[in-house]
Formats: sequence, structure tokens, C-alpha cells
Amino acid sequence: MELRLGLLGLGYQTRTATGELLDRRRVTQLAELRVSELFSVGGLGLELALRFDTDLGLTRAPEAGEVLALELRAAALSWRAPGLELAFGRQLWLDELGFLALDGLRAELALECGLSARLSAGLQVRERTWLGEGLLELDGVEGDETPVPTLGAGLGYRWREVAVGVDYRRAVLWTDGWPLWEERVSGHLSVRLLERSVGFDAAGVFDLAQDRWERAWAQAGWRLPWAPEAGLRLGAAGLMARPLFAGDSIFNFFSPEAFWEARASLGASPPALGLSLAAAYQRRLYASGGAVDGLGLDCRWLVAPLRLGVAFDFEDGAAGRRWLLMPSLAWRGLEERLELEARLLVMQGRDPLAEQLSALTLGGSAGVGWRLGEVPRLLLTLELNGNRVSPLQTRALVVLDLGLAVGQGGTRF
Amino acid sequence: MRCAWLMAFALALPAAVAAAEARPVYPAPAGDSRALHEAAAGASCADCHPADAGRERARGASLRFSHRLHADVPGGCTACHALAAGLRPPAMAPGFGACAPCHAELVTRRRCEACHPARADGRLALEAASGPLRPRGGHTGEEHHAGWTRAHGPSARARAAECAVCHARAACDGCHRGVLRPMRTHPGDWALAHAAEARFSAERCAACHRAQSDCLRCHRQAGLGGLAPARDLRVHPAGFGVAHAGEARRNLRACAACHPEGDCVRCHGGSGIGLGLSPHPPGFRGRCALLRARNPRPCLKCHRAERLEVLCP
Repeated sequence: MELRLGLLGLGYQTRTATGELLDRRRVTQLAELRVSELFSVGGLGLELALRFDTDLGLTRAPEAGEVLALELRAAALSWRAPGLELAFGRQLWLDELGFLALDGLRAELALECGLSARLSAGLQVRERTWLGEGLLELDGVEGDETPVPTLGAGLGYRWREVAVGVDYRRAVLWTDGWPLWEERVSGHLSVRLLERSVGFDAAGVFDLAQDRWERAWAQAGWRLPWAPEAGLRLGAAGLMARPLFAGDSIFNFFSPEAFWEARASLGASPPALGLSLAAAYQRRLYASGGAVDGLGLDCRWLVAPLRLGVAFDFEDGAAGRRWLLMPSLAWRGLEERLELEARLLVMQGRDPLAEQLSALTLGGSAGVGWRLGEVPRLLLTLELNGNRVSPLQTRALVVLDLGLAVGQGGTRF
Repeated sequence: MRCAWLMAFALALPAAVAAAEARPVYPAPAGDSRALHEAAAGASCADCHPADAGRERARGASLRFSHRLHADVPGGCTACHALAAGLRPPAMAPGFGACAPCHAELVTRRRCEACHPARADGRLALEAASGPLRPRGGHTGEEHHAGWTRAHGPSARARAAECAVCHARAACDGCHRGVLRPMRTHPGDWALAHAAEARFSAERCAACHRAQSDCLRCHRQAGLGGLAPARDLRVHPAGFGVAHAGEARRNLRACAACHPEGDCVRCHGGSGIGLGLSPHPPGFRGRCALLRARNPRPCLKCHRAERLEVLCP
């Protein structure tokens, strides 16, 4: 059994349109419970997760008001046996079709021969349902209370380091005529070769409701055999994507353009040095012919007790020109209980609509934490930031994380 | 003064590198065993390790491994502890590669908890006495290197089952919706500085943020946007009404963050509405009947039902 209770307090300031500085405070409470061997029944489990958010602070829009939200993030009973997992209740998962929060049943079967099957049925969690939340619903329309019955199915096959799969999901609105809310099918392929030093992943999602490809992507990576202590990696990726909105949105009937991206990257991460270097070049093409070129550099160096980081991004093309530089330096001492960080952010953009779009901020923070393992821990952080609009801004964070774990040595599905 | 700082940094650097190299790995190595074994060449293993063959646990490691059960492996100790095969000192303990040939089924089925200490639900314990457990040797970021936090997205989607060996599904939700993550991902003062980034890379923001809740809620509370012209200038420059078409085609999601559908229809309502501009792309008439048959509700937001019969028979 695992029990985790979290209390997070966040306070910061934000500048309004009239130049006034608003104080904002947010209190978040988390409660998670995971039980294996429920009622001493082998394979029977329970997962429960609650989150309560309270936003306090002045607002300039009466309709926005204070935010009090209780979310039931997970509440599911599960039963596991070799090769089989059943879960009933509110649950969340991620696949090629996206995040899905569902109130219902999900079953997964994995056979010795490598074949697997997935089945799910229930009601999608929507913004205005009881204890619902809105993050997982697609953008585009105001949320309503119409239930969305959903059925999903998937098949997979795994042989050594090769995995393929296909997933289907159909959702309708529980109203007259059962109009279609979402119907998509996806396929994916994942291959690892040469002791996992070479990898290839590809996937595509076809929107059956709109009768067009929603997105497709492929990536290939190669961990170079030369100088293994340097951890050199070469990567290439391609992507096609199209904006997707909720099933009732007229935005789907407009003409948002699909875009294509190609990316090449080179990285190094010598494990002995705690260093990670990555450089990537990216080109994005829009259906109208416009293109955007981008170059990204990222460097992270963990040189205990120091942590250095530099990120640089440059984009130029149809969307204008933009560059961004973020160096940072952090120090952790007293057995990682005290952390001091200094950082700088410089960015400038220019596009046909905004001649100058720039920001220069300088920030620093100090934090103290007590950590006795993964949990429990207590973290106090105070930030001081400044820029030309707000010379001094503060942000404070308090985290109290309490955890209790009983039992070990369980078997996973 | 600057020289003093540089000198202090130069003096501290070697010690810091040494500390990084000496950080615990999994399983934890101990001593230069290669040199010790070379000096004892020809001796029997049991001469120096009389009790190890009967151990239930690997010495110095946190694995669930019984030496006693493996005592009869053909080849004896050196079948796994391949001293002559050039294992890098000081870690002469056999790694994953020594176990895999005999335990292929466990590897294929990702039954990592058969050897690694696990929690009650079977997920691996990530903090062991010998140090933190991190995957090594994968490609494209599956090796959890220093930049992994920012690079894990594609691998997490493609190999979610492998993530589940250690991480609960709620772990994604905990970070992607948490209040701790933005403190690390975004620099301080991001609330003011994010405008330039969001303008160029709204898709990147959309990976975590839902525009109509995250963007709109905050902008409303701060009084940004709205109908007052002075406020609109904070978001859109002068002349944007004429020039917005390209921006909307390039990234309609950014528009949808603040503008409900009605804002667009005010002008793009077709013949007789607003400016009479059709919002539909060329060729839309050819597939509108299919879309209407699947879900007529979006069509009815602009078109009367009887008119739909004519437009999309």
C-alpha cells in the first residue's frame, strides 16, 4: 500500500493591463492511495487520486472569480493476473490517440506469443461532469454536460525488440441522433536493433470523423558505437500534424493548415561527467508554402554540487524571427538540502505583425529542502525576478510531501 | 576580483568532476577488483570468496539474486563474472548482458521486478541502498541522461509500456499538471516573458497547456484582451484585423485560446452575414455532406436546418 499526501502553496505576482501588480496565491492539496492485494485478494488493487485547487487573489474580471476545484483524477479498482489486467472506474492513460480520462472499464490481455489486446468502454471525463476536469478535452468549444460514451479497442504484437499496434476509438454524444464526437484509428511501429543502439519509431493517426490524417510522425535514433564513454547520439525525425478541435467545434470546418516538420539532431551525454549536449536543426513547412527554420542548442552539466545549463533557440521564416537564450547556474549543498540558483533569460522576436517583441529578465531563487528518500520531503523556495516592466517580482513555493509505503516485492502485470 | 572567481572555479572543478564520477551507480562497484584479480591469477574463486557461492543476495548490490541457485551454472563463476572479457574496472560484476541469454523470457516480457527490488504493485523501487536506479544504454533518450526531463516525450509515447516498469500512469499527470514542473521548465518571471515564446511556438505550449482554460483564465483575471481597443493592443497590434488571415491559418489554436467560435462567425458567416466571407476551405462542399451526416451540430451553429438540405444534400 502506498499513501501520499501533498500540500503545495504557491504565491506570485502578475501585472495587469492597467499596470497594477496583482498578488496571487494558489493552494493545492493532493491525496493518492494505491493498494495492492486489496482485502488480501491476490491481484486486486485500488487506485485513488484527488486534487483540490484553490486560487486566491484579486481579479479584474468578475466572471473569472476565485477558482475552487476538486478533481477526482483516479478512482479505479483493478485486478491483475498473469497476462491480464482489468480496471474499473476513473482511469487515465496515454497512447498514440492522446491522453484519455475515462469512467468505465479497461481490459488488457497479453499472450505468451507476443500478441496483446486492449478494450475500453465508458464515459469520457468532460469539463462539466461531476468532479470532472477540462485538461484532457480537446480545445474548441465550451464544455457542456452531454455524456460522451466511448468505445476503444487495440491490438498489438511484440517480437523481441519489434512492437506493432493498431488502436481504434469511437465516441458519440448521448443525445438525439447520437452524433459522432470522435472516431480515430492509429497505428504504430517501434523497432530496436543492435542491442538497442539503433531505434525507429513511427505512428500515424487518421481522423475518421473528418476523413483526413490528423498526424503522422517517425523518428530514428542511433547511439554511435565510437567513443561509448561520450554517449554520442544521432537522431532524425519527421512530423505531419493538423490542428484538432473538439467534435462540436466549427473550427474543424475552417481551413487550418497542416504542417510538416523535419528535424536532425546530434547529442552527447558522457555519463561519467554528468554532461548532456544536444543540437538540433528543424525545418517546418506549411501547406501554403511558408517555411520556418529553427536551430536549438541545449547544454546541461551536473558537476556536483553545481548544475550549469544553457539553452539557445533561433527561429526564422514565415512566422518571423526569434531568438532566445537561457543560461542558468545552480548550486546544491548541505547534502542537497539547500539550493541556490541564478538565471538569465533574453529573448527577442520580430514578425510582420510585431516589429519588436522582446524580453529581458533576470531571476534568482533560493530553496531549502529536507528529503528522506523519494518521499517524504519539505521544500521551501523563494524566487526574486526582475525585468523592465516589473523591476522586482517574487514567487514563493512551499511543498509538504508526505508518503507512506507498506509492502514490497509485488509482481507487475 | 574576476581572477579570484576564475581561480576558485578552476580549483573546485577537478574535485567536482571526481565527485560526479564517484557517484553511486547500480549496482555499486567497490574497489579496483580488476587489479586484485590479476594479482590472484590461477587461484580458485573460493579461495578468496569462500562464502559467496552460497549467498542469497548479490554482495553490494540491491538485486534479488541468489548465488546459491546459480551455483550449478555451466562454467562456474566465470560464466557470469567474465574476468577475461574486459569488463571495465572497477565494475566486474556481471551486468544485464550476462543474465539475458538464460532469462530471455523475463527480458521479453519486461519482468524487471524478477531481479530488481519492487514496490507492492510491482513497479521498481527507484531509490536503492546502492544508489538511484536509472536505465542506461538505450537510444534517443531512453538512457536517462542529464537532459532527459526535456527529451523524454517521443520515447514516452512510443514505449509507454517500458515507462510503466518504473512509473505509475499517474506520474505523467503529476508532472504535466503539477505546480512544481513549471518552476523547473519555465524560468522565473515567465508570466511576463512568455508572450514572445507563445507567439512563435503555440504548438509547443499546447503540449502541456490547454489554451481555453490555462490561457483564457489567466488573461481574463489580469484584464488582458476584451473589447476595449486599448487592451486589445496588448495582444494584437494595430491593423491586425486585416492581417490576421495568415496568422489564423498558420496557427488557429492560438486564436481559439481567446476567441470563441462566435467571434469568427461574426464576419465569416457566409453570404449575408458579417462580411460574407466563407470560413470553409476550397473543396469543402465536396465533403460537407459526409461531415453533416456524422455530426450536424457544428453545421447548425451557422446554418438553418432547411438550408443545410440545400447546401449539403
